[in-house]
Amino acid sequence: MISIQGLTKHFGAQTAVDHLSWEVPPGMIVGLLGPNGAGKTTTLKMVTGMLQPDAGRALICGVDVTTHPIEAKRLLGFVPDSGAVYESLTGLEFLLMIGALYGIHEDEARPRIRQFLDFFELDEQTLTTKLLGAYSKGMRRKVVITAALLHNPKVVLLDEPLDGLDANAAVGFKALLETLAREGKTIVYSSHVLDVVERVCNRVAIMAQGRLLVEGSPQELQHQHGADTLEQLFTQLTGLSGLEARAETFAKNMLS
Amino acid sequence: MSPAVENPPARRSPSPAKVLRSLFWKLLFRGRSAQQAGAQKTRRQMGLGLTLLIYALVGLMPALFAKNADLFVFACTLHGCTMMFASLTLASSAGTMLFMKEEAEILLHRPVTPQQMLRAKCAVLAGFALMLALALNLAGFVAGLGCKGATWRFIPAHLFSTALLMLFSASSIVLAYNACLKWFGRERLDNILTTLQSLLTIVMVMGGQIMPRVMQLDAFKHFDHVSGWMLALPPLWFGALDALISGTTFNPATLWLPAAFALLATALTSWLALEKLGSAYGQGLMNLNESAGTVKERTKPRGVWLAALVKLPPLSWWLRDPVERESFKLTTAYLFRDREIKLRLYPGIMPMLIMPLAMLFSGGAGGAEATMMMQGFATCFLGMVSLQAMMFLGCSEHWRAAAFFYVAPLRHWSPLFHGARKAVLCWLSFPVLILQTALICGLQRSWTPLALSLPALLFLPTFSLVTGLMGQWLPLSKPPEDVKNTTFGCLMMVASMVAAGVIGGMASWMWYVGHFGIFLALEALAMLGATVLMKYLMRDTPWVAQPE
Repeated sequence: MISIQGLTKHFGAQTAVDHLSWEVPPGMIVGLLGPNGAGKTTTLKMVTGMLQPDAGRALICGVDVTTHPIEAKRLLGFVPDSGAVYESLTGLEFLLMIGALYGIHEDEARPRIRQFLDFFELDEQTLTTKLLGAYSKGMRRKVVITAALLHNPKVVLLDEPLDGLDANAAVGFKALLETLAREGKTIVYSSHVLDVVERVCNRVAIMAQGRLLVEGSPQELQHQHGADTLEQLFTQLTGLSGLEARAETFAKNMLS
Repeated sequence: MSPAVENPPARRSPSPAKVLRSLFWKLLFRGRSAQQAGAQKTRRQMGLGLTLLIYALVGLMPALFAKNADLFVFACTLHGCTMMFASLTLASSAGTMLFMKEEAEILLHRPVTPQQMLRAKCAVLAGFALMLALALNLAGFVAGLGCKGATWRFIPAHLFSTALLMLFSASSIVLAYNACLKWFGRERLDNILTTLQSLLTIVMVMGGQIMPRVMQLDAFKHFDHVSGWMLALPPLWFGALDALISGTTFNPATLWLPAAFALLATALTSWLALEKLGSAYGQGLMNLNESAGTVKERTKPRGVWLAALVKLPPLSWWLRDPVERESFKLTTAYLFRDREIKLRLYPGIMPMLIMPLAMLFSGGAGGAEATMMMQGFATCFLGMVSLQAMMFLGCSEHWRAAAFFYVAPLRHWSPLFHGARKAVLCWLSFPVLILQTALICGLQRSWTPLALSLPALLFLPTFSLVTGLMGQWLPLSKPPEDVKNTTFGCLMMVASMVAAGVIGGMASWMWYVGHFGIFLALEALAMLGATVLMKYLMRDTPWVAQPE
C-alpha cells in the first residue's frame, strides 16, 4: 500500500532522511517511532507530497507521489501534528471546502460531516457559527481528523493525532482506527506516546537519524532484542540509556 | 429502468480553482480569531463599504482635472492615481495572503497544486484591487466623457484598461514576492518583505503629497507627444489603450507602442509570476515552516549584544527593575525578529515618520517661523509612534504565551508595560527623533533644530505612558485582530496632534520671543508632574486575571 524506496532529504548540511526504504502492507496500523529529529515528520511530509525528496520515491497504492502528486494525494489522508486550520472559517465552512477539493459535492459532504459530528460528539451549532480560531485545541483536532478522513482515503497518515483529545475521544478514535484497518486501510501512526502505539498498532517502525532501525510487531521486536517493554526497546535502540539514573542525579542536584 | 435512473450521476462539486478562489476571498476579508461568524461578516461589510467610499472620494481629485484635458492625458492621470492608491494598497496586503505560515500543512497534502493555489490568490488579489480601482475611477468614468476627443466608448475602454492594469499590478506584486520566496531563506525573506512593505508605504504617503502638485504642472497639463522616457511609465501604457479605443486629439500612431506595452507587460508578468515561478511556490511555502528551511542554519547564539547592552549604563540605570528589564528584552526581540510584528509595525508607523517630514518641507515656503513651528510639531508628533507601536506590541500571534505573565508571581502589570514602553522609546522614538533632527540640521545648515528637538525629548517619554492609562497592558498578549480598532487609532491620532501642536507650537513661539530656556524648565516640571500622576493612576489599575 505504501512503498518507500531510498527516500532521502537534506536540509543544508543536515540529512533529515537517509536512504529510507520501507514497505507498509494494507490493513495494518503501523506505529512510527523515533526520538526528536529522527526524520519521522519529514518522511511523512515526503510521502504526502508536501516536500520533494532529494532522492528516492514514495508510492501510494502504486502511484508515485512525485510524478503523479494529485492522483496520489486523492488516495491519502493526513493529520499534521500542527493541527493547522484556516482560523477565520467556521468548522463547517472548512470541512466543506476540504471536501470540495476532493471533488465531494456539498450535498454529499454534509451527511458525511454529520456522521463525524455524531462520532466526535461535536456540537453542530458551534460548527456552523463559531470560527475555528475560537475552538478549543481538542475541538480543532477533531475537525482536522474529520478533514483527513472525509474523502474515505485508502491510506491514512497521522502525526501525533491524539494531541489535545480528551480521554473519551481518544478511546473512540483508537477504536475507529482499528475498524478502518479491518476494512483494509493502511494507517501510519507517528507518535511519542509509546503505550498508545503499543496498544493500537500491529507493527512498529523505529527511526533514528533519518534511518529505519527496526520494523516488525512489538512482541517480535521485543523478543529479538531481549527487551521487556516497547519503552525499553526504544531507549535501547535509540541510544538513550541510563535515563532513570540521569533523572535521579538531576533531581538531587536541583533540590540541593 | 434506464441506467441513468439506476445510477443517478453524482452532483459535480465546483472545480478546485473555484473552491480556492472562494476560500482566499473569505480569508482576505476575515480576521483570524473572531468568535462569531455573523458579527464578523457585518463588521467586514461595513469596513469594505467605508474603504470603497474613501476611494470614491479620493477619485474626485483627478476627476476635477478632466475639463479641457485631452482624453489620453486624463486617462493617464486616472491610471496613475489607480496605481498609486489601489495597487499599493494591494501590495501592502498581498504579503499576508501569499505567505501564510501554516498554509503548507493545511493544503499542500490535498489534491491541489501550488500553481492552482497561486493562481487563485492572484485572481482574488486582482479582483480586490479591481473593486478598489472601480471605486477610485467612479467619478473619472463620468468626467472622462467631457474630455477633448472623448466618445461613449471611453467607459468600456477604461473599464477594460483598468481591469488590465489591476491584473498587471497583481501579477507584478505576486512576481516580486514569489521571486523573494524562491531566492531567499525564511529569515531574509521576512526582512525583505518588511522593507518592501515599508517602502511601499513611503511611496504611497509621498505619492499622496506629490500627486496633486504634479497634476497642476503646466508641463503635465499640456504635454502633446509621448517621448522616450515616458514609455517607462505604466499608467501611460494603459492610458494609450483608452485613447486608442475611445478617441483622442493625439496622433494615434504614437500611441500604438505604449498600448502594445500594456498588453505585453501584462501577459509577460502574468506568465512569469504564475507559470515560470509558480512551481516554486509550494517549496517556498514549505520554507516558511521553520522545520523545513533550506537556508544555512544560524550557528551564532542570539541576543548576546542585547544581554550585554542592558547591563551597561545608561540602560542598566534605566532598567533597574528585573521584570522591566526582561520585558524590555522580550519586546526588543520581537521588534527585530518576529515576522508578523515587523510586517504590521514598520509599515504601520511609517506614515507617522514621513508625514511630519513632508509637512515640514511644505512649511518651508512659509519662511523660518513656519519651519520652526513645523519642526516643533513634527518632533512632538513622534509621540504617536510610541502609541501606535504599543498598540501593535500588545498583540501577537503568540498571544497564548502571555499565560506565563498570569502564572508568574507578579504584583502588578506595570513593570511589563514600562519595559516594553522603554524598548519602543529606545529603538524607535529616540532614534527617529535623532534622525529627523539631524536631517533638518543638515538641510538648514544650522544647530537651531537641535535645540528645538529638546522639548520633544522631554515630551516623548511622558506621552508614551498614555497607553497604560487605558487599562491593563501586557506585551504580546492579545490576538493580532484586536489591533484593528479604527476608532482607537483615530483617537490616538487626535490626541497626538493636539499634544504635538500645543508643545511644539509653544516651544517654537518661546524660541521666537527669547524665553526658550524658561519654557524648557517649565516643560520639564510639567512632564515630571504628569509622569508621577500617570504612574500613580496606573498603579491603581488592578491586575486582572487572564480573560477567557
